[in-house]
Amino acid sequence: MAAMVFQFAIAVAMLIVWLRTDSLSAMAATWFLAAGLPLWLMAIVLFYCRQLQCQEDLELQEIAARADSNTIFEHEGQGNVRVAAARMKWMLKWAVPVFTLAFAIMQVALGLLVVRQLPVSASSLALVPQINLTQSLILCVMACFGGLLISRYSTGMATQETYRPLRAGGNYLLINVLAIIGVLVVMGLAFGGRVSVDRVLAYVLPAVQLVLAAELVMNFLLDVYRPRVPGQEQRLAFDSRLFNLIASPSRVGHSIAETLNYQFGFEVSKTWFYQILSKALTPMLVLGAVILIGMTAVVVVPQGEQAVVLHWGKVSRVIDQPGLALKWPWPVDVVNRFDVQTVRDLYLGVGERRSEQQIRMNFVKGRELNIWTQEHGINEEKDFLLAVARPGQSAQSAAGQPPAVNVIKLVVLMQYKIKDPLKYGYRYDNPDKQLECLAHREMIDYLASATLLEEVSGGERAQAIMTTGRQAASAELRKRIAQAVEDELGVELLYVGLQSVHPPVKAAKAYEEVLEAERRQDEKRFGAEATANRILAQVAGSPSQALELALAIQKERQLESMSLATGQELNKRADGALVWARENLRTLDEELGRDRLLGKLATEGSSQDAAQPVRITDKQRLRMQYVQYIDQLEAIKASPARLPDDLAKASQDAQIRFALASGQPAALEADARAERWQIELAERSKAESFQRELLAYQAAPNIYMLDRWLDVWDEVLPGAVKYVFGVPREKIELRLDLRSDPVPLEGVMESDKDQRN
Amino acid sequence: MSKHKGVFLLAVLIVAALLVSTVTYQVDELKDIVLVKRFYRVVGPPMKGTDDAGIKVKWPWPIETIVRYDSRESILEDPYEQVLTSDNQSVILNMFCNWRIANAVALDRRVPSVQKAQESLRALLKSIKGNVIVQYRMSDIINTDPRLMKLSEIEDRILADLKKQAMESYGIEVTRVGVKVLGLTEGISEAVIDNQIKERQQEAENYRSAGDAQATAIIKRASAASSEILAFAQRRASNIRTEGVRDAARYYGTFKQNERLSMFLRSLDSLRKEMASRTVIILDSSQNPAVDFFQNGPSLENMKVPATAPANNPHGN
Repeated sequence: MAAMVFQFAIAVAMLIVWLRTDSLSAMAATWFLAAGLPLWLMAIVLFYCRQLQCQEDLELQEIAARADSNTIFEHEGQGNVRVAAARMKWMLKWAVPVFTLAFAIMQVALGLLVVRQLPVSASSLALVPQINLTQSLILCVMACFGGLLISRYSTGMATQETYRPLRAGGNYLLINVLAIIGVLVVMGLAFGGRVSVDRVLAYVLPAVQLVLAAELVMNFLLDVYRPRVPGQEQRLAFDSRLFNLIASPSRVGHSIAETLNYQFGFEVSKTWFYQILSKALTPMLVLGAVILIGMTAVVVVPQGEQAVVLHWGKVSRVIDQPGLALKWPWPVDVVNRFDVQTVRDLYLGVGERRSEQQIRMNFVKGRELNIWTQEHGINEEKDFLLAVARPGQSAQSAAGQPPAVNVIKLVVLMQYKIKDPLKYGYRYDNPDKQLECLAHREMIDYLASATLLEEVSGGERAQAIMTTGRQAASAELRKRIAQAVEDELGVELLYVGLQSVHPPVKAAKAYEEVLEAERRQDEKRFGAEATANRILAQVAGSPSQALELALAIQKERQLESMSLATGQELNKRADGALVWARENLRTLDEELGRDRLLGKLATEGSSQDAAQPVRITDKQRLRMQYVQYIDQLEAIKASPARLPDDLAKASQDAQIRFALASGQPAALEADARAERWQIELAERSKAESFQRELLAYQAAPNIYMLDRWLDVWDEVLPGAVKYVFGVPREKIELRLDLRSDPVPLEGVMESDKDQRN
Repeated sequence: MSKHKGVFLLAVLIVAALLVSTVTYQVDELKDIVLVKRFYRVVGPPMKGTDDAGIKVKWPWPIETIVRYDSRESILEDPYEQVLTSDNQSVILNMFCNWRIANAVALDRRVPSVQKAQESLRALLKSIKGNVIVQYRMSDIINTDPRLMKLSEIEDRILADLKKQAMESYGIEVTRVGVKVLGLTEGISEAVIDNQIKERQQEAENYRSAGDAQATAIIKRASAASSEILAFAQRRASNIRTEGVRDAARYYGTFKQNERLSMFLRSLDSLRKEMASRTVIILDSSQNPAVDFFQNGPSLENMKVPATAPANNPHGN
């Protein structure tokens, strides 16, 4: 009972330490200590039962002494009245195993509860005032001392069979004392600012509870199957063998032997193997310790790693080659190894990992589908702000108005590896976080002014990062991040690239609408170009020839117009021509820009092979002609005297181009030429036949005329509709309907009747 | 005694190791600043790894204790915080700062632990950040023109203030301040995205209109070029035709021998062409001798050259 009260008292003491220091290990120790109370309670119950059994034995002995020795019911009567013995037997058979299982379950529950209660953040022990630590330290020392006394007393008493139930509680209390010593060490280290052990111990104690629970369950099972030897003392299942080993280190061999003998039912400890093992145990432990320390003098550096060797804290060398190396044993030399070959990934612009369910939503028929209109990726994509220039809104946004920014999703993938272990491992206490922060900073600084789709000229601004400028932006970002981190952190950047650039889900449809409209625009333009090409091909054989011919004709016409003017008028007409030419040049430049975007045209300066001639397209050739014409007009303005020569050249150029053109104009010209010859030849033919007809006419003018006249009628009358009136003219009334010919069966249809009505 | 010699030796070794560990300490070259305290008072200058690395001796606990600090640069982030700019724009700013212990004695004296110092530094950063940001406009933080962005200037100002305050208060040297995350609150972010949607819709409309305009311009340009070429071609054709008329004029002298006959023949040619199709002929027997026979029977008396041509009505019935 006293031990139980004391167990309770030290649990309360540990609770106070916990509350005063917020120590994680004190919290775990409190529960560990409190969990020992049922052991003492069970011991009390067993003692009480045994006491009752002893009293019963005494009473029976007295009765037996006083009773008549002739009683025929002596033996039966004794068996029926041994209630306490039966109770004790029942306790050992049922209550102890059930208690063992319940106790094990309780240990598991408390252990898991403690682990769940441990916070993610580091221990806050460093923030605790030193006075609290000192008080806690004193409490722990007192609890430790008292606990040790009670524990040793209990385990000492338990060596006698009568007090055996005390052994479980005594051993448990001793392990509690070790836990309190652990807390004591944690408090001591906290004075020096080292608090990480607190968290470690907070995990160790629940682990011990779980191990104890496992052992107790095993005890329960083994107890069921052990051979029952008559007269042998039953070992309580809740009495931990493991704790007994720890609590009696001097009797390790004896404890093991006792356990084996009990379990197997014969004297295992009497075997020769066991005898040798028990004698050599201490030297073997020493040898093991020496081997362990000796092993710390050997360093194994795997492929792809480098090791920094510190000799009493000073950098002694860096092992940069894989293999075995020797060093002074711990704690003289300490080695820190760094993996310098593994490529590490760092994602900028992402948040927490998305749940598996959310990730699965991106899979369609087993394939991952990342589209703008739904959240995607392994990690949540964070918002990134992009500056925009809004028409009618200055860069300084008005209060109450949304700022002149766009929200996009921008994820950058960065891959790197450690290059210099000394810089990476010892310049910053958290190099990975440092790298992340510096890279984020460069990302904001460089990409916040970027354009998403638009191409802007000049400047340092990243442009069109969603499309054509993506690669350039990645290269520039890599350059900037490398400059910021490589030398500073001893890393080598292997890759920096924009992994994902897209609008937020809500705006995605609107962005897609623009892309669709852009494609529709292209579609309309391509349709119009096809129509234009057809029109142009009809008039010159090919569109390019047509446009060049049209330009040549226009040049000739404009220069001709200028040649008719002088002075101011000449300049005015030249200016008009210049405006026309420049406007056409601008249109051509826009078209060439679009062709370049569509990949129909090589980007300026993109030619990989300087020796390979660049193919000039029809539009580029036409552009050159416009440029030449503009130069020509400028020259004419400066020196009008050259105009006649230029006009002559332009005229010649137009004629040559026209001559080369095929299509409708060529047909027109061919027709004109044919007609020209028809006219001449027809007159020539008429002239020749006229000579002959004149002779005939002179011979019989009237007959000849009538003959020719009738020839005409003979020729035309057979095919004509004829009405012959064989009655005097005055008897005929002739009405002519001058409407067009009726359609066959006109007037028969119902609709015709309706129209008439 | 001889029976437990091994155990005894082991115990002696363990106790000796424990004793040695209480009277020695190690200073790491790369990451340690160590203070030695005798009865809780700092003794001597701090041991810096760069100068005093190695194994050192001290009096055992509780006479002398050591306090160990990390000499490496640390990084801390302040929380994501909503701040106002001078043009009343609200942004969420998350900053980081690098710091290291410059005066370990001062730090040990003024704060109970490094964690507490970090908390204080975080609070300082938060306060100074707010004070500095409010002096800048939104366009200084984020701008379409990178030259107008003043992020570096903002960071430098925060660094200067923080550096001074941290050194004076805690003996901590702040080496760098940087912006890690720039964002908007949820409501403003929604409004910005709505704006984006409207802008994109307008952009889409622009593309549609531009598509129509470009298509029209392309076809008109082609039509203009075509008309130009055809007009040029017509002009040339007309010139060619007139050449034929010019050359045909050589033969006109022949017709002058009897102009009347020539004109009669041309009239007949014309008549032949005009009456070649869709002609309705009404023959009046009183006028045409060839059909007068239908009325009066055949007779040579009526034969005469017709003075007028028959009625010609190409469209008549």
